[in-house]
Amino acid sequence: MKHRFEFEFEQERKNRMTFEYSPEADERLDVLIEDKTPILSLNRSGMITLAKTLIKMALGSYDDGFHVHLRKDLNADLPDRLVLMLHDGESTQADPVDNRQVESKHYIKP
Amino acid sequence: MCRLHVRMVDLSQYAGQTITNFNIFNTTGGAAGNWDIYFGDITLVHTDGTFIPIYSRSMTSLSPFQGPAETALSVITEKVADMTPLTTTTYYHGDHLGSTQLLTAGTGWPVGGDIYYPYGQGPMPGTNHYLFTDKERDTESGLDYFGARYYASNMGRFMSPDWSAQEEPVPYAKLNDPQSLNLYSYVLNHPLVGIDPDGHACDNANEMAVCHGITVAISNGMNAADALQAGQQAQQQQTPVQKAGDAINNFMTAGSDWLNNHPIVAIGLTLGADLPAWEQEQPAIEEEMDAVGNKVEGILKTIEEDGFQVTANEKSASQEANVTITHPNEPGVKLNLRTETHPIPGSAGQAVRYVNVERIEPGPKNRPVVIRNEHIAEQP
Repeated sequence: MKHRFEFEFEQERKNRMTFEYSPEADERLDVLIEDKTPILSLNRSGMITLAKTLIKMALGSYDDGFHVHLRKDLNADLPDRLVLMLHDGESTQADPVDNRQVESKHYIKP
Repeated sequence: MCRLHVRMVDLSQYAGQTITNFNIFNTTGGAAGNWDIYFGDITLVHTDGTFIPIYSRSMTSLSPFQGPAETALSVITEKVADMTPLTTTTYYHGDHLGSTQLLTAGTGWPVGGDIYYPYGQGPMPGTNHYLFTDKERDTESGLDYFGARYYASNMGRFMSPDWSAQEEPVPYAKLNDPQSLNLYSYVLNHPLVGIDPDGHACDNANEMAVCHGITVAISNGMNAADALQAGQQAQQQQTPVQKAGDAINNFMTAGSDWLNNHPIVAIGLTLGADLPAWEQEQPAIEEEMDAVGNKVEGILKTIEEDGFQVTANEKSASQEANVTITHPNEPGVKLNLRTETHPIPGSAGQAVRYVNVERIEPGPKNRPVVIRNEHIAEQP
């Protein structure tokens, strides 16, 4: 049985990210440290939100060092739990991405 | 009542001659009696598509018709060439830019029309003064009046440089768009898709959408006039927190360069955040803020005078400022503004300071969620 994850988003202004939230979803996210190893704990909708965020960071127009703060349960009133930072060495633009694993459509606004 | 339909007649053989009369032929037979002939909507059509109306002094002519044996109606002819209309009601039909392409009479027939080159060069005003992008063209100079400035369509340039109410080195300049540095250019040299509503260059995101987003509007089936109206409505409907966000974003994208790459310092001070670590930078900061006084004052006005509340949040070790901006008219909507320092991965401790602006809205189950994150890095 094959599963397919298709995600389309529009290219945003440089270093700007709009998050994708489901109106019904109740995303859960937390990070635990066990023996200096971080454990990322998410429910399914939280995983999808995180996946979309990662894909946007990978394919969008972001400078090296661009980062987003993800709060506990993705609730903006709760403390930071995870910082996702793009670190691409010297380059300032995302390299072409291997699309064999994730099929994603990437649009640039006219 | 019999209606005559449009008949296109090739008059090229009469080029250079004066047409003083014409006949309307009865080809299908008709009843004897008096026929009313209407002259109001007769037009000459040039080969380039331009319409020239021909009006009759008398809108109707009562012509006796004897019956099928008579094939031509007697029509008053000598008045047909009179170009002065009796009626004054005409209807404008614009293209996607709002330029007047066609004028029609009340009955729907075309009575005038114009064509334009891309930058608006073309017709001089006659009875119709509203031509290129529906702006009024001056009869003597041929210049188009855009409100703030006059525009010369034959050059594709404004006749005077752009200006702003507040003194600025280069008004409305966007440092990420070199075309905006030309103070005489028209719609950033995109005349086929852009319109200029007021004679000023676009100065914010919404107006940019109006001036230069026409391509998108057209692709969505919207004409320029509708796009203009939608953009203006969007501006009017902009909420206070959106205004604050835009002010900060403008400052972050353009103001940072003018501030000699110290946006964090300037934004923090602008918001009145408690930032003791910046005190030692104060002399340099003041000089920079003097250099961009208008920008900073603009943000201050947006933040303070429009009823916003700025709340200082607890700062983490990496943060120099952490404030939340709210407005009583938008409960649940917040702007989080944080200035923070993060080490560059793999750089052995070298750090970069960042400004992050987050827009937060009530999400599912009233959970506040970040719906937008914007970010700028301070240049080393």
